[in-house]
Amino acid sequence: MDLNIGVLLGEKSIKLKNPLVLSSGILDTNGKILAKIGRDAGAVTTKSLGMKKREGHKNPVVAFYEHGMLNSMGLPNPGAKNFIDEIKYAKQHTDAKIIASIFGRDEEEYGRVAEIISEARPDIIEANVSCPNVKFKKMFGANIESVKKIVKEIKKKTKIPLIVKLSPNTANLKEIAEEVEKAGGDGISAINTVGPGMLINAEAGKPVLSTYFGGVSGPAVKPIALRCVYEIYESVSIPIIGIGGVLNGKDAIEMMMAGASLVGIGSGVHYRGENIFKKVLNEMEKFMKENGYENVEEIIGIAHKK
Amino acid sequence: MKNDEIKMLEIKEIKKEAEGIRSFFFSKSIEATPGQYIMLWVPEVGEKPFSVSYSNSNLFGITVKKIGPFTSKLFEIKRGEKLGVRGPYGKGFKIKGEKVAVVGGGIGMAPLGFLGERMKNKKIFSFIGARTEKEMIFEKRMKRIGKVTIATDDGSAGKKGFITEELENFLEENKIDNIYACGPAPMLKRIAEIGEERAIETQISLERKIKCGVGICGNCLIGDFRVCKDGPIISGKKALQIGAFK
Ligand SMILES: Cc1cc2nc3c(=O)[nH]c(=O)nc-3n(C[C@H](O)[C@H](O)[C@H](O)COP(=O)(O)OP(=O)(O)OC[C@H]3O[C@@H](n4cnc5c(N)ncnc54)[C@H](O)[C@@H]3O)c2cc1C
Ligand SMILES: Cc1cc2nc3c(=O)[nH]c(=O)nc-3n(C[C@H](O)[C@H](O)[C@H](O)COP(=O)(O)O)c2cc1C
Ligand code: FES
Repeated sequence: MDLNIGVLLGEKSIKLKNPLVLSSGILDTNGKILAKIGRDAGAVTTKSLGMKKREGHKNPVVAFYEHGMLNSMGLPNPGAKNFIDEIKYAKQHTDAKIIASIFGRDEEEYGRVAEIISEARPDIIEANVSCPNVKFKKMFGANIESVKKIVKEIKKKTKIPLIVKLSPNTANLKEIAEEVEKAGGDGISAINTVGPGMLINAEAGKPVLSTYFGGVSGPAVKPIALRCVYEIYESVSIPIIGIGGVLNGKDAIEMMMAGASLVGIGSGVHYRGENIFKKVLNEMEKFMKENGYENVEEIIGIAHKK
Repeated sequence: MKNDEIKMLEIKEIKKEAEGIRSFFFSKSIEATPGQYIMLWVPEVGEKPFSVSYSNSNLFGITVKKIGPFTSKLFEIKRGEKLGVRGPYGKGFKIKGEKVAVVGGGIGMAPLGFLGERMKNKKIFSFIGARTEKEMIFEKRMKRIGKVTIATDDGSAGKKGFITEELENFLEENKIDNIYACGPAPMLKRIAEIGEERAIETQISLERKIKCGVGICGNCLIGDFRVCKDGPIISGKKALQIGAFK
C-alpha cells in the first residue's frame, strides 16, 4: 500500500510521506508541537501569522454543539518575525513538510509578511484570505480583485510555492479559484471555517461566544467542504488541499475523490485526539486494501465524470 | 462530546472559606478525578478554568479566590442563580504510595482537599501555606484525614516562612512515597526540585492561560505539552525537563 504522494506546486515537485496535513490554527503555536504532529502527518501548517503580535479574542472563543464546533480565536499569533525560529526548529526535527500560514491587514501586507517568513524557508506558504473572525477592511477571500492582488504581492516577494486558502462563504468560489490560478497561485486549500455561525445557550438566554459569531468546523461542515473541493477541482488544474470535517479514513478518501491531493485535519484533533493522523492513515490503508487501490494517488478526483 | 456543551447549573450553596475565597456548590454529580478542572462560563463576562474542589454522589464544588475582573463578577452571583459548566477536562492526579505528602499554597489547596478525600488507607501529611492566616483554607478538612502542618508569610498562623521549608524539615526525619502539590509557580518549582534531590515522585498542577480546554488551540503549550489536556497534573520531573518554570 503506497501512501506517498507528490504534488506539483509551480515548478516545484514536493514529495510527502502521506497526504494528511495538520490545518492552520490547531496545535501549531511552536516548533516542538509542529514537529510532534509531523511524526505522523505528511505536512503541518503553522498558526496564521501576521505582521504584528495579536492577542486574539476573549473567552469563550470555542463552543461546541452536537454536530460540530465554533471558534472565534481571532488570529492570536506572535507575529511572523517571532515565529521564524519555530519554523526552523520544526524543519530540523520532522520529515513532514512545513506550511507557513500568513495573513495581512491589507493586500500589500500579505507580501511583506511572506517576505519575512520566507527567511525561515518553509516548504510552502499558505495565504489565509478567509478567516471569518476578524474584521479587516474587507473579507479578502470573497473579493476577486483582492485575491488577485494578494497572490501578485506575495509572488513579488518570494519564490516559495504559494497556496491560497479559500472560504466557503462566497457565491463566487469558482471564479475566485480560477483567479488564484491565473494570478500565479500554485495551489488552493479549502475550506476555512463556515458561516460564521452562532450558538445561543437556551437556559442562559445568551450567545455563547464572546464575539457572538464564530466559524463552524468539524463533522457538520464535511458536506460543504466536499462540494467546495469538487467545484474547485472542476475549475482549476492546480493541486487542492481538501479541509473540513475530516475525522476518519473514509472522510479523507472522500475528500480525495472530490479532487483533493492532500487532506487537512483540524477539529478532528479534538474529536479523536492528537494521534488522529495515525488512526486516519491506518483507516485509509484498510479501505484501500479492501477496495483494491494500490496507490493513494489513484483516488484523486475519481468522483468526477471522465 | 456531550461534556463539551455548556450546561447551566444552579448554585446550590456558596460558602465563605476564607478572606476573599469562596466555594460554589452545584447540586449535580460530576465524574471527575482530583486535579481535573471545569471551564466555568459567566454569560457576557467570560470563561475560565477552575479545579474541582468538592465532589460526591450528589454535588460538586469549586473554590475560587477573588483576583481580577472575572472572579469579581463571579463573587456578585447569588445562590439560586445559574452558571455555565463544561468539562471536566485534563488529566488528574494518579493516586499512589502509602505515605504521602499533600502540599498546597494559597488557593492551590483547591484540588487538594478533594484529592485527600479520595485517598483511601493512606497516611496523609498535609502542608498548607498561605500569605496570612485569613487566607488559609481547608485546614480543618485536611485534619480530618491526616496530620497538618501550616506556615504563613507573616507568621500569623503556624511557622513564619515558606511551606516548602516545613516539608523539607519533615523529610529530614520521615520517609514519604509521593508528594502532591498545587500552588504558585515558585513553590511548585521547589517541590519538583525536592523530589529530584530526595528521589521522591512528585505530581504538581500547572497553570497556564486556558482558551479551548480541549487541546486544540495551542494557547497553553509548554513545548509540546498541552497543559489543558496532557496536564494540568504533571510529574515534577517532567515539569523541570520541559522548562515549565522558565
Ligand atoms: C487548570 C487551572 C485550574 C485553576 N483552578 C483554580 C481554582 O480552583 N481556583 C481559583 O481561584 N483559580 C483557579 N485557576 C485560576 C483561574 O482560572 C483564573 O485565572 C483566576 O481566577 C484569575 O481570574 P480573574 O479573571 O479574576 O483575574 P485576571 O483578570 O486573570 O487577573 C487579574 C489580575 O490578577 C493577576 N493574577 C492573575 N492570576 C494570578 C495569580 N494566580 N496570582 C496572583 N495574581 C494573579 C493578573 O496578572 C492581573 O493583574 C485555575 C487555573 C488553571 C489553569
Ligand atoms: C480553533 C481553530 C482555529 C483555527 N485557526 C485558523 C487559522 O489561524 N488560520 C486558518 O487558515 N484557519 C484556521 N482554522 C480553520 C481550520 O484550519 C480549518 O480550515 C477548518 O476548521 C475546517 O476544518 P476542520 O473541520 O477539520 O476543523 C481554525 C480552526 C479552528 C477549529
Ligand atoms: S487551551 Fe487550547 S490547547 Fe490548551
